[in-house]
Amino acid sequence: MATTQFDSPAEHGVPAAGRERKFSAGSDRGYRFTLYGIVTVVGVIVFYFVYVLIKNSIPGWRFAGWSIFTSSHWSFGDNRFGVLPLVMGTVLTTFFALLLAVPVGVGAALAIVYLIPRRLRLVVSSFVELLAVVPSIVYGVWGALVMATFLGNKGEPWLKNLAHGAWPFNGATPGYGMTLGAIVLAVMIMPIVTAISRDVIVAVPKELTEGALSLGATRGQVIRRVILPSCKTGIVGAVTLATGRALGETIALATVLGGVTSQSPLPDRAFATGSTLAAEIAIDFGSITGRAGNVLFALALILMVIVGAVTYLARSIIRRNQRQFQ
Amino acid sequence: MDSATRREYIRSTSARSYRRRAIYSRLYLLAIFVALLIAFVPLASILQNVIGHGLHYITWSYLTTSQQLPSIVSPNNIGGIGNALAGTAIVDLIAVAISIPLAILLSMAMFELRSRWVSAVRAAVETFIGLPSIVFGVFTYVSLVLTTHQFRAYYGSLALCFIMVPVMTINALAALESVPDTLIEAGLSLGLRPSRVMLHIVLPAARARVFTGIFLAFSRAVGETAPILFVIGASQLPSLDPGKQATTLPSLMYNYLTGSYPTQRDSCWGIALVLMVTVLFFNILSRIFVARTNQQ
Repeated sequence: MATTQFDSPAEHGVPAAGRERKFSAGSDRGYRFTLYGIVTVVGVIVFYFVYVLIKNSIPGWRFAGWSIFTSSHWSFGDNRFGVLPLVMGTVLTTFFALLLAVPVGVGAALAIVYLIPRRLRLVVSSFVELLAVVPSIVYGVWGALVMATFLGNKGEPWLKNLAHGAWPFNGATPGYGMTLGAIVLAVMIMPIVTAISRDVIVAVPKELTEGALSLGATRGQVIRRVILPSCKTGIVGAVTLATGRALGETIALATVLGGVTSQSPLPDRAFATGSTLAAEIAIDFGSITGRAGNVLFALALILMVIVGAVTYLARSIIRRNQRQFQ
Repeated sequence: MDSATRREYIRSTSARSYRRRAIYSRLYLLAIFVALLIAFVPLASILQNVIGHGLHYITWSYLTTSQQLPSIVSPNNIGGIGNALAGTAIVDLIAVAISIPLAILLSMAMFELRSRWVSAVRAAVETFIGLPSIVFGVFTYVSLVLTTHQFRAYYGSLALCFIMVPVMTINALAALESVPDTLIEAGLSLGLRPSRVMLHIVLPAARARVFTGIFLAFSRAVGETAPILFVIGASQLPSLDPGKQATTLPSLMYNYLTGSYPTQRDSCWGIALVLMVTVLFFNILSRIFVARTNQQ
């Protein structure tokens, strides 16, 4: 007993690394008071933030009724607030964006680290990092002014011809719509995936790759069997961040999706128009008032819950993997 | 077996397997090279459009004169972006002036204090990093615009604080925690009070990394559109008054993108170029600080 008592760093007022407090209680009262004050102010703001969102959404939930979760009819004109098309729009655009961006992004990161000549490497990776911080509205402008025209005139008719007009590549080819949304999101999150993956791949210990090479593994085998497994956690982290961005992206999508027109939860074809939770809030917020406007708060809450759930899931995956590696 | 025969032996037995492995390896390398090329195409297209369509806008008069509303009679009359530059300056300046001290104090508190309440606030702040930025705009709109029935520039600043403070705080906290404990112990053993240790030892040692986080957060906030769109209103005159309405570069861009004149849509590229150069500038600043940290 006696030894543990004296071994405790706090007993001596000596700061210890890690989770122990950095100084003993009682000293420097004003300092502690200020710091607690700051934390409390921020905490109160956080509570107020949650309170305001919930309070304002309550009339919205009442107005929309239970059908908000069961109906697929989203229309302010008819006062019908089935949120399913928006939720599915959010999930689908993000899913297809990840499907496009993750393999390409991780592949590009591998190429930057292992294929490109050393002199070019700095140029290419600064280029990627620049694009990772480009404001999302620039991607929105590119999507609406460049990619929409390209898809409408060339891309979508080409796909339609290729599939001989079979589902899902049938119907009108307006250019804007869910396909464009997924592509814009993919282009927006790809630099994020590449930049983070590159950092993780560079951090793989040289001994591991050199060991594998000296055992006779080919460069392809080293990438598949050594580098990718040891970067798994980092890449999952990159994908998580990208997913969060994609789910909540507002401005880049607000002008490229076209809006919900059908009354089915899923878009009926690849070139259909649609909307996402975040984009719908941005488009309608200024113009819709009254109780219908309160429904938008319900949308914001649903969006926050989805983003929170995805982040939590990803964190638990990362934690489980870390335990495996230990 | 001498080495030549050994090599011959290995080659004869493993030639097929080796060839297969070599082909797979080539395929892998080809695949990641193709991935790089695919990644390059859209990103190059964005840069090409922003520079190609935007560069000729960059003139002194475009940067200094205010926007004009085009009409059917004069559809080319769109003016410049002077009002948006002024608006961006005032909105972002106030946001930074609030965020930096708040974030540094908050990270200090999270570094020094251990209690349930502090770690709960820390968890909330970490969650805020991942939240969609539009919800902050929605919050600011209801709590400020609806209660005062006014659009004001500084409401936009407050909304941006929700984006910046969490990023700055978590980065600054990591910076503080990277300071060696021996330094802190040395300070305390000399009889310094904890506040002096923080202000004179820990903060100066962590300075470069704290600044890196600040610039990172700022370069993200400069381009944010969603949180400020509903709260700052619009101003066609350059104004540095935080209590008045304002137009910022991203809000003007969104306005033009949804506008009805082709000249407005084309002008988006000019604004995009200005915005990207601004972001690039602060990103480079943050890199300089990263490089300085590595030197230390």
